[in-house]
Amino acid sequence: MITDEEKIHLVAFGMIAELLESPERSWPWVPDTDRLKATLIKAYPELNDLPFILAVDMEVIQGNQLIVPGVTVALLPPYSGG
Amino acid sequence: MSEKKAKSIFIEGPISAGFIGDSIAKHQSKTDIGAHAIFLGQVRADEKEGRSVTHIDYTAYEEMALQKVHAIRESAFAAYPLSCMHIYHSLGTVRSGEISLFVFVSAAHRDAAFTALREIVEKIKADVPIWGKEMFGESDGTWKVNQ
Repeated sequence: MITDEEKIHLVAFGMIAELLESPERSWPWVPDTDRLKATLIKAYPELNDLPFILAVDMEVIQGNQLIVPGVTVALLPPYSGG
Repeated sequence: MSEKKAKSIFIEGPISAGFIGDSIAKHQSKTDIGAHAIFLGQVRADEKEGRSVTHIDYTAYEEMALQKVHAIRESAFAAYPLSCMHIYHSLGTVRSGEISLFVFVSAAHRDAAFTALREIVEKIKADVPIWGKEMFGESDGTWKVNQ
């Protein structure tokens, strides 16, 4: 059984939120963001064709980053405020 | 981020001319100010494939957006001699012709006000997680791409 500690909190916005059906959900924990992207793309192949960046606990990441269980990872398509 | 909760910038729906006018009036008591610079972002009725944009639906990653705006404010206050700064952005529906972004910068002299205003607006567009969906009527829409 997967406990809350072994999950991450996933939030999505804009066109990614529409694709993921739900803008907010828990997701099985994986140890880094590259592996997270791979599991997301496996579940939602359309993500491969969409531009987005990841933010871990509200910090935009560059490259691959280790993640710990319980963090919030946001999927952010290009911003279009203003 | 500091312990102090960042002030919200979000307004549900369009930013009214009355709200903007009241903001200007509130500065009459601040007599060290010699220059106000204001940027207003207005929703365009862009034509796309024969249809025109009726409204934009705005959403945001609010908590992160407030953190980013806080950082933009701090950096502008550190770089320019500003007296005050106000930033507001709409969430939800804003019809074409209505205002969705209001940035108001005040300083003793125009140079600081103009330069800081431009920099702040560019950073809001680049760094703040807000999304606009351009709608053509009630259900048909396309995600906005900033120029």
